[in-house]
Amino acid sequence: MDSFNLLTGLICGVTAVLALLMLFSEQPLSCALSLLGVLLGTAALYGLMGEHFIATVQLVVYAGAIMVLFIFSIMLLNLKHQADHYNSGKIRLVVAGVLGMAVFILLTAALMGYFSSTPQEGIRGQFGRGEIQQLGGNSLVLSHALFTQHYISFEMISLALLVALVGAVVLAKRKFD
Amino acid sequence: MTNNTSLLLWILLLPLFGFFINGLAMPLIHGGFSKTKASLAGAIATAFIGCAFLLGLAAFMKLASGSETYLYQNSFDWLRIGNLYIPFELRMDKLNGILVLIITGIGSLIHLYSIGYMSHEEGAARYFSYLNLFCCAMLLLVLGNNLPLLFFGWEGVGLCSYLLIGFWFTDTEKANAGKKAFIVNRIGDLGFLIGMFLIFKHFGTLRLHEINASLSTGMLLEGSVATLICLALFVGATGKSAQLPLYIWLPDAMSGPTPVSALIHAATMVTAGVYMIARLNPLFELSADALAVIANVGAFTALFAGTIAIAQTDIKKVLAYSTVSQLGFMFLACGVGAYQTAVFHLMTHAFFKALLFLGSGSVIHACSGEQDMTKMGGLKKYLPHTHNTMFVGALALSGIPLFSGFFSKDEILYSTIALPHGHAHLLFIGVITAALTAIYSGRMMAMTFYGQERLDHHTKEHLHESGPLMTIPLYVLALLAAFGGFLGVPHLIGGILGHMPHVLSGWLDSVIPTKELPLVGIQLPIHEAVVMIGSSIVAVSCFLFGVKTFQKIFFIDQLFPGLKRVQKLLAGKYFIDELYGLLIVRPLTRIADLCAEIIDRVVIDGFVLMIGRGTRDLGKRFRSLQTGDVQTYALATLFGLVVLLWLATKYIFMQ
Amino acid sequence: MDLKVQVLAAFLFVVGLLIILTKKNTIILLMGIELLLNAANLSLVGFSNYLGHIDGQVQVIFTITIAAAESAIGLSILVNLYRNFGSIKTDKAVTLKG
Repeated sequence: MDSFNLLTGLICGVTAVLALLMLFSEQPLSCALSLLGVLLGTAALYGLMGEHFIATVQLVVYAGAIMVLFIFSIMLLNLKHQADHYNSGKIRLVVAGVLGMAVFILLTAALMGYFSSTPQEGIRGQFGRGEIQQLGGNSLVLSHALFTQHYISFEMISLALLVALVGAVVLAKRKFD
Repeated sequence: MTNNTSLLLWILLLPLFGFFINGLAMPLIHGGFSKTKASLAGAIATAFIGCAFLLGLAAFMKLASGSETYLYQNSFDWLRIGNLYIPFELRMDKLNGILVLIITGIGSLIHLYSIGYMSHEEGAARYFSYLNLFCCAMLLLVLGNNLPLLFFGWEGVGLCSYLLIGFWFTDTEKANAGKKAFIVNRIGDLGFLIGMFLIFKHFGTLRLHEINASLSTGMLLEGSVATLICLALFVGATGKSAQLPLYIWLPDAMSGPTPVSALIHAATMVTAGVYMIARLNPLFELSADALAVIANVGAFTALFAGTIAIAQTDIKKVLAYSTVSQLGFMFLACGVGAYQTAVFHLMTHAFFKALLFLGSGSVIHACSGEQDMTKMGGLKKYLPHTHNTMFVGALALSGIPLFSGFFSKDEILYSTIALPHGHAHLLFIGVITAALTAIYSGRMMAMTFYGQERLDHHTKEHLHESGPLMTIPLYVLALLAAFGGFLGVPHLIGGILGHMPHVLSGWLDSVIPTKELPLVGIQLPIHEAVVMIGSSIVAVSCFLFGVKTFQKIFFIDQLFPGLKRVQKLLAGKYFIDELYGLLIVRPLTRIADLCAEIIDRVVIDGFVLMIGRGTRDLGKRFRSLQTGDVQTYALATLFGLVVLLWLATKYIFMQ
Repeated sequence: MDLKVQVLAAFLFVVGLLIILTKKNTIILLMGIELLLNAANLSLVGFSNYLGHIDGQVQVIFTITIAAAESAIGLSILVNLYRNFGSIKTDKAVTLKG
């Protein structure tokens, strides 16, 4: 397991660095590319965990569709003259920085406290890392759950997508007076 | 006590109805407050008070026939709070029977007189409604069986006297006189209230018959407490009955119409204090110190007012000070323990003083409003009826033998040395005051009716005797003033004149225990006959002296040149009003100005404005929170999130 | 491995927050929102994997879908913002300033 852990740690680190790059970039395009990198890293992590279906969906939808949409809009609005500067008020920066660090520290502390306690046997379900392979893989298990237990939500999601589509078209239409 | 009559409430309510009809219904009908004719308003008012008199007479007859000792009517429970029980109860016994007859009887005569007097007056309906309201309040005062009801009437007559004195309110001076009367009265009322509170504390009840009953069954009251209660009540009486130091309103009260002075300030309101003391006489008997105070204040007031009266030129002012002086006599009588005599003098004084006031009103009416005696003179042949009746009144006032004033005043003078609570010096003060009384009565008659005519040509043209509406009451009162004294013939003379009893004493005996006067005085060993003859001589001689001397001259310094400064002092009424103004009114006005300018404007207004400004500034500060910038709002949300996370981490995940 | 994944999710979450709070360019802001959602997804999948329930991953499917819809609409709003205020700087859209 050593190389596995190493690999996981490496990918985590790279993703973190890319996120920081996003924070400190000035150009929207470089920000978009960093985001792309983060998404790829996350997808890798999903794969390492054995969630192959989710990893694929992440790549296809997030990285493939949403990021393309972002990059198209950036290019469409032609905003290279509107670079971002850091003068959003020093106080706000400092306060945001402090609060952000506080959130991170608290969350980490909570997580460490959670993981250090003994794992409760009662909560564990049957779809752990090892069992999924035996049950036919991530896609099978996930789609089974999706189409039997959660199918109403599934239908509603497709409706929501339709609404979003119509909404986006209406909002962005050129208005003729 | 059980109700045994329904008359009493009607006696009270009839004048009240008159008030409402003249005050509300008439203006509504005629479409305005000054549109009712004087004769109509007067007729209505007189009818109501006249009916009240007839009912009062009926009630009096019931008492006289001996079938009941008192008439009682409890209409409803007004207050019932724990120990305190104050019903609306009216009780007529032999004491207030007399007063009811005086109020309604003389009141009716004065109402009748007023119809003539106010015939040219625009606000007559208002006048008559106030007059009726006054009678209602005064009747409540005398008929009320508990102290709060008495006080209700007490305040009511104070209010009505304010309304009536300031009747011609468009004249600032007259309006101020009304205000003065009410305010000075109220100062006295504080004393009355304190007395009431103390009575409730020590007796546990405010009902008069219960107070008197518990005293007669031998309830012990610590001497100092009794003195305190009596003095507190006396302060109230001082205000209402114009004794020193609260007499100052009565001379100013002459600004009102003359019939008002006759009713209120001669016959009824000012006697409320005397009635109160007579009613509570068992309480006053407990405290010799309080009685001594009352006697001395009364005597000194009598002397004081008498000295002022001989230097006045306004005919009504002479009578006003004379009233103060005679009230002093009444309190003197109360103070030596002769309560029956005080009531007797109250009655005779009501007769002759009302007569004198109405007569003076007739003179003033005839002289087209002239009140200064130095501008009158020789009116005898023009105003015969007025002169005749006023002469009778003046004789009664002076105490000329066999007129009413003689009997009552003499009884008072003898009581000062004949009763255990009496003092010798009071007799001397009384005699001197009686002399002064005779002098100024004679002076008044001389300056008005005898001597040279000093009338203005214009006034002389309009000089006319008053009509029958005004002269009939004068004659009725003259009869009463002349013969009313025979209700109280002392045993000394009664024996001589053929076993005439002291009617009043026999009548009042059940309410006020009779104190038999010994033939020779206790404080000073003088026989009663000596006092009687002596006072008669003094009265007659001083009256004749007054009539003779003041036909040609007006003031005592014209008689004795050395008395110039004395005359100035007396004519200026000892400058008491100015003294009060300096000591009391000025500081109060200054404090009021201070309050208005500083406390009201700076402190209170500043505080209120500060609240407004403060709210606005606070709002301005809070407004800056709304930056419009969404990211700032997100920051605020994040701050809340951090707090929640911290709490969650601390209490859930780190256990 | 689980802790590493979760801590990374927390880190991504904080970075997303910081981007939203400090960046003036609205497009970058929208990208920050995507990062936030992604962090949440990562955490969900991590816990689903650790605890063995499949519901976490079902939720992730829904979240990804809705994130896509929301980003589309967000970009339409961005276009409108540009049309109304002439710029995509966040400090230009402050008409609700008290």
